[in-house]
Amino acid sequence: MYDISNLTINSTNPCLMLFLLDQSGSMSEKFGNASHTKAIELANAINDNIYEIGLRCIGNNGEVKNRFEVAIIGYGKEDKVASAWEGQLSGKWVVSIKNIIDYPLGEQGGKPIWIQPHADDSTPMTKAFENARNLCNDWINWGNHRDCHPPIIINITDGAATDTDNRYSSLRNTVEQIKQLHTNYGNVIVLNIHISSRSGDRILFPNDISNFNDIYAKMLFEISSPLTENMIRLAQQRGYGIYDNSKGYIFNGNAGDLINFLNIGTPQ
Amino acid sequence: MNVTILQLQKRASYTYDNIQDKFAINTANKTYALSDGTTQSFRSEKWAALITKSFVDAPIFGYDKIITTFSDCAYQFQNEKIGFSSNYAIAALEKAKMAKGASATFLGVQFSNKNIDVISCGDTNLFIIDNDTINGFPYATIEGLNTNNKFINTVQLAEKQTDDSFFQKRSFPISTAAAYILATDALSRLFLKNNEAIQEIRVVKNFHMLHDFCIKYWEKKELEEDDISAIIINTDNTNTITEIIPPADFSFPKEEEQEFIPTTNSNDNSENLFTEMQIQEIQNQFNGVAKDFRQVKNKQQKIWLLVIATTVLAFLNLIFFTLSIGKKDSQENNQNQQMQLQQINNNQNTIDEQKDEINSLKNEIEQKNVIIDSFRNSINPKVDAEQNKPIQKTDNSNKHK
Repeated sequence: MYDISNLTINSTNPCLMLFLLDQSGSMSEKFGNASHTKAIELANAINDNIYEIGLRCIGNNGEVKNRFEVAIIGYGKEDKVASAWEGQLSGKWVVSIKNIIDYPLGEQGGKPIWIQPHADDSTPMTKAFENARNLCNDWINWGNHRDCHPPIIINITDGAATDTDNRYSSLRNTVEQIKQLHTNYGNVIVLNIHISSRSGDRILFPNDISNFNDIYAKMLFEISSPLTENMIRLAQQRGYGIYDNSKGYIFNGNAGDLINFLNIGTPQ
Repeated sequence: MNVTILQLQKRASYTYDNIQDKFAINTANKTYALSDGTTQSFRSEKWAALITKSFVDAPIFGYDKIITTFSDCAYQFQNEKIGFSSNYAIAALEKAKMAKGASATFLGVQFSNKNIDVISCGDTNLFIIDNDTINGFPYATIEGLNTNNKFINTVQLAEKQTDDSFFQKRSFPISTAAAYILATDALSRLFLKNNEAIQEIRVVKNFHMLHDFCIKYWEKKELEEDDISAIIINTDNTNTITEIIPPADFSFPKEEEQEFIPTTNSNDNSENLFTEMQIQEIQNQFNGVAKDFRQVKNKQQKIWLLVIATTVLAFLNLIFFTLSIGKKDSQENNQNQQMQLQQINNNQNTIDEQKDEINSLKNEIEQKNVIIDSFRNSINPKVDAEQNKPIQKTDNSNKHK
């Protein structure tokens, strides 16, 4: 009787958050109307996400509970797909939130940071998703992870994959394979954060983007998982305007809010 | 009244002192309060303890007054000195968390002669079990309970953002046959789904039974992994209070912390993915080779040192030997030279002596010749004259030839 509404993410039943970071050359372009680049926006997004996760895991007396394990896979830098952890965490694939908080790369604006901006070379997004597929499969089959919340993959990109055909067939196939992976509480969830050069308002978890005239946006929206019933329930309970058929796609925003859609014990 | 308090911490909290649900009772004024400090907020268990104690000390059911009382508690809470971690990342998180304040649910009840007054904020629920009827307040359904998004929060109180809408209150007539259960959210959710669980918990008499009850429903995934707290009140004529909580030496086992290592990913685009065992084997082999290499290198270094030492020693010996031989030779040469000089001197002396002897002999011969001539002249002076002529004639003949 596995009911995700009864599942609390905790140190006994942690959740894997897997970030895919587009570190390709196109990320050196300006982000929307901002004066900074997309690479900087991406680094800010990932650092904010880790910080938010940390906030949900810090207990009394400064003890960090291992409620999340986090993987960061970078793609594009030197044309490779590799672990994007830097500093003392470099080379590791999956790191518990406790270790992440213990080893920040530095500090920026009074907040710890773990990732710096990078922008080089091509965009092997398909290869990155293949890596994510392997990693999720390994994680699910490790220890008691089948009894945990399904892994959540968050791909942060400007959308221009270079290792697939014009119709993104191989990319779509790989993402579909990922979506078939599952724990006892459901299938792996794939979210896409679209960091664009186009100016425009932030869009969080829409259920329709047919009015968007952007092929990358459409592709990323299509490959994103629908938000689960439990996520929608928690989001609505916490005051978000999320529709029943919302998908895990964000335009020019970050997934900091996503953490509020997960049951990590009572929030606030 | 017969009151039983049941509490068990969630397994992830390990020990009872980490439980974030707090209760307070005051038998004198028949007041009971239960609060669930929210998992993610800042020192919520202290906040939960503060508001429950405050309520049972002076029970209030008016919205404005209870907000004022809790605001005073919030002021007290916020003025406590807090120390932060020396790790700046943790300290940053602690400060951010503190800025959001502490949050807790609240459920307070007071029994009077005829009624039970209830005031509530959040998803801690009251169940009234009267014969076969079970009524929940403020939530009678799971859907209703799940919609809760109100908590008593210290920052909101300080900023006067807490209003009447945060609270729900009601009075119920007391039934002597009824049982009243105050329960935090995980247990409330179970009770709303499964009425039998209510009957089960009512017969729990000791910690062992409570533990088994929670484990059973946790394992069946029907009960959320959360702190479990309930206050069961029976309005009979007895006056007993029973606390069923974990004994001091009880703790849930700490999960073994194992670092997850993926078996198929590598840090490049390689298509050849190895299994974990293969990687382990390769690592072992590599380590073995590295060890052997180190041993060989050490041995080679020692041999080199030995060779160098031997060479140096040999060279030094050679130098010493050469120096000592050279010294010996020069001494001998000097001696030889001296001897040779001596001999030369001796020889020179001998030569000189010989020369002297020759000269003396020559003188002697000349003297003897003179004597002989004088003797000859004395014997035959004509012979001498004649003999002198032929001698001259012979000389001439020889000239012609």
